Amino acid sequence: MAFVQNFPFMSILLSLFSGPLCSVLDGKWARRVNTAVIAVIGIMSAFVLKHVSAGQPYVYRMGHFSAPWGNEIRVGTLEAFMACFFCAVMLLCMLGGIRERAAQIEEGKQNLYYVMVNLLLCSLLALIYTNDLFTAYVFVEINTISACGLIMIRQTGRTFEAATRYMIMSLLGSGLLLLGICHLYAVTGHLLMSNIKEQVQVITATGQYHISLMVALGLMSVGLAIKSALYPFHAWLPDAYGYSTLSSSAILSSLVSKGYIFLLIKIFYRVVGIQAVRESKVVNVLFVFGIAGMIMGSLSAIKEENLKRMIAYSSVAQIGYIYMGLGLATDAGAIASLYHVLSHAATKSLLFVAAAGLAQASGGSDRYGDITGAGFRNRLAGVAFTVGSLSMVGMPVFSGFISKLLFARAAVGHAHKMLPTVIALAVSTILNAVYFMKTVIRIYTIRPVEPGREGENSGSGGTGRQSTGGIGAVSAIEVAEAEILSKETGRTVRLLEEPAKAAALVCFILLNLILGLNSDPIVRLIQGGIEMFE
Amino acid sequence: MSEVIMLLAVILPVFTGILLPLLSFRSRRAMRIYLETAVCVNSGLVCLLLMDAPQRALTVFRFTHDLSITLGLDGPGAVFAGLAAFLWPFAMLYSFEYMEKEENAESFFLFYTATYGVTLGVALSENILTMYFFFEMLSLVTLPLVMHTRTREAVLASRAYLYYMLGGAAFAFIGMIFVLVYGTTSSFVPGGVLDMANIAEKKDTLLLVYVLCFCGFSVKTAMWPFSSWLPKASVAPTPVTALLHAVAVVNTGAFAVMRVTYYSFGTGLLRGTWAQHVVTGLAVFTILYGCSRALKETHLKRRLAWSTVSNLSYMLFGVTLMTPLGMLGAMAHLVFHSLMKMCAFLCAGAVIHRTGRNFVHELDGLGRRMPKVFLCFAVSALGLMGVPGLCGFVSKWYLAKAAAACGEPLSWAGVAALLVSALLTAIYMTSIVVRAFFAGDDLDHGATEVTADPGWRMLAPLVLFALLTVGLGLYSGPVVRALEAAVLGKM
Repeated sequence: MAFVQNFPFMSILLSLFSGPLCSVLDGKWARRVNTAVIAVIGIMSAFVLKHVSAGQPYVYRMGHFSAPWGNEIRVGTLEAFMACFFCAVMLLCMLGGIRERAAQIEEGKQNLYYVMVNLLLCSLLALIYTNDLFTAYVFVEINTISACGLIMIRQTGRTFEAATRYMIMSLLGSGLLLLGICHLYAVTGHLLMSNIKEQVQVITATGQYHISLMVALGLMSVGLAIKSALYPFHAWLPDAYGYSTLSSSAILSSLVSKGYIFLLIKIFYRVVGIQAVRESKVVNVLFVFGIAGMIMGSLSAIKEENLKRMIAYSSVAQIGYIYMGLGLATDAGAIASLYHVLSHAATKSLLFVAAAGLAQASGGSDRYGDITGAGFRNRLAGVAFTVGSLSMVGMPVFSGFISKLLFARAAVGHAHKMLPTVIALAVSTILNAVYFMKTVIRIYTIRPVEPGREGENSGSGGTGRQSTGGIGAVSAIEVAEAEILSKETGRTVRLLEEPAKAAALVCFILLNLILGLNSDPIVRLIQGGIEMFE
Repeated sequence: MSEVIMLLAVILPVFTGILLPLLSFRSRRAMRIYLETAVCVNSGLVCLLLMDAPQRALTVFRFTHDLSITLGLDGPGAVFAGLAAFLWPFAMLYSFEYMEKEENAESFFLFYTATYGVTLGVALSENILTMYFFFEMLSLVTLPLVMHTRTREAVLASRAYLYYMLGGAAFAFIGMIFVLVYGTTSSFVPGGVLDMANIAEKKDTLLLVYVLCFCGFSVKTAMWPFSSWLPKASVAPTPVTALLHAVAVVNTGAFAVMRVTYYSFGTGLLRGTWAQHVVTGLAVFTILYGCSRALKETHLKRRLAWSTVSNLSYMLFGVTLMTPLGMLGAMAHLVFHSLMKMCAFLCAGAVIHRTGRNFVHELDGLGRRMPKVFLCFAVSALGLMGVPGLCGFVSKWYLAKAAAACGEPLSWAGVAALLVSALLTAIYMTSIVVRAFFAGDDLDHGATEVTADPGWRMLAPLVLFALLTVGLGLYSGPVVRALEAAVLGKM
């Protein structure tokens, strides 16, 4: 066994034990440890990815106890890639939110935040790698607890309420998941995914326990759907994402919900078997609610007056896309969904960080009226927000276009779900355009000024949106101009005022462009990973 | 070599635009020379392309293994590219004078120049994805132009503009996906690319998709019920309304519909189906709708915008006849209407620039103060009506001929709509001319005493376009033959 094969196990343990370590450190050192841990795990996952993409997927027996008693993790290309990608996104989310964390979290509790993040990373990795359904359940719970911590750590009344709601809905979800696992255990007598699948094939061949199996599938799907905020179980989401500190919102929206979705895909492919899933009616339910989410989430976002909550509601719509893809119950649909997981993770966290940058330039307020012209005051955030919005609208070049393309292509040829899917895609694109482009237009609109100051407005044209190449070209004159503008409405944020956030934004934009321009290898990788599931 | 020129022609204006704020010219004069040179060089490049058409397509970039940004040149593309290349330098010249007083000229010219490249991109698209890409880009680069004045009205207009554009593209996207999945290739091939064996039992779905896709692309032509953005967008500076919202953007819509109908879905599949009837019906209705709204409108630029709505539907009507002749008529109207409507808009712009008057009833007596401008306007008005001897007549003639050749009830209805629309056009256009020249005796001419014709940069383009309207009307042979070769040659 190659040494590199230990890495998945080691990365889970590393993130798990760096949690307690952070609890005894002070905030600054905890942050450093946390950053290092995420980076190291990301690099390790990259090595694992390289290792498995050259050869076969492998099963790693914890403590060398063999099945069916031992606990296993299983590593294929998709698992390794997801781990690597999640680490990269998480690192960028943490980088982007340093200032907000310092401002919004009490001095003595700074290190606790990193405890939670480490635990969250640990549970995400475990969800990705595990081959054991009960282990998955345990880490789902750890995930929930640490996510609650991430929401609560900014201690305001709003976040307490949000965390409580999140807790209640999440526990309902995990309860259903547990019930589903129990049903499966009762029917098959196993907890390891591969063993369950063998038994399920035997059972379906003989036609026994059909109803139990369907109930189990339904419970697990609904449980995970609640946890990942599929419409109509999304009521907890806007508060949780909208009021928590920046890193939390970004991580929650781009990673936590995606961990559950990845688990669901694993359950579809590795536990129940995609064939049985396809024949069941459960996927139709997911499909219908996915489409409902795409529309309703966007409608709620249109009504929203607060930038962060608007982005949060947009998550509901994007989760809808993912479930719509899963609802197609084809490999192409699953590939599209997984691609959208990546695309949404890269885009949504970009939007959250950019929105924070815009708020920073508008006196800390992210109310819709206050961010008028913020794109001129914080150029990089303006460009980043525009990129994120265009990606959400599905503009070619950005990642959102490729996922839209994959969804549509997956849908075409499907007997009954073809037209609903493509039309829902089109309608949802329009709705996305309504709220995202409205915001983009607003951040590049100059607030009406008193008659005496009109002359000062000239010259600061909309060059910011032109291309990402222009980022470095913010000249001193432009900054000075923007300063005059922002005397009352906010302040100008210089490019290098907060290098970490700027770096995070640039990396997110690049990530988006990579996903949008170089999608072929990634799609092949996902496809290979799904084949390895079998 | 000439393949690379295609790429250059698309990229050069975009880079010219991007460089503009970076160069930060001290004097406007230097900026003008820089811009006009770049635009003229680019038009020269297009000329080179037209004379020595590249035989092969040029793949610029691959999105995925089977989807690429590919440029190529064929008949209709050459016509559209040539038209843009001809109009842009003049429109640029005109806008120099128009924008003299305006602030933010730099950002205006940035996007105004970049739009040239994107429009050429649409014309030079070799496959449907490339066209879709430039179609979307066109919405984005023209948005800041609509927003230019940054007034409340402009912001609202630009929002509506973007919603309509992106919404249209979203439905066009559906059509693109079907062509990608069911087509044998994504390239544009005369006669369509759909794999007939594969789609036999899905024909109705496919027709529905065609109708959605047609509607999606024709949002840019402001077809009813998606027409309200165009009059709203006339809040933009007049060079934008003239060149973009009477020519580049709307023609892109008509051109895209042509491509999809004749080169992707194929007329063989569509002719005689309910889908054809639906889209023809929409086009015919829009012809009348646009005219009627123009008649009602009192704002000069908005009236012209409604007239554009109606005229673009002439082209759509030609396209939906689904015959080569229909496409020829549409193509001819695309070219001729651009000349006439440019002329009309540039005249309107000259009036607004010199007098600040925006409404039709304010134009009384201006004909005496600005005789050259209003003469040109009169010529374009007569041309739009379709008076024989002017170029509007030629294209309408071809459209009517194509419709008569089809002989179906709906195409006869279209001919009737053409006639009614000519009458309505006569009313709403000539009423402007009559007001300007024959204001009646009780008008106080003193109020307009200081007004005079604009400078040469403004005057030259509109006189040229008016002369062309007359010239091409009297001597349409070569242009029509060239169009015939371009359209019918490869079909």
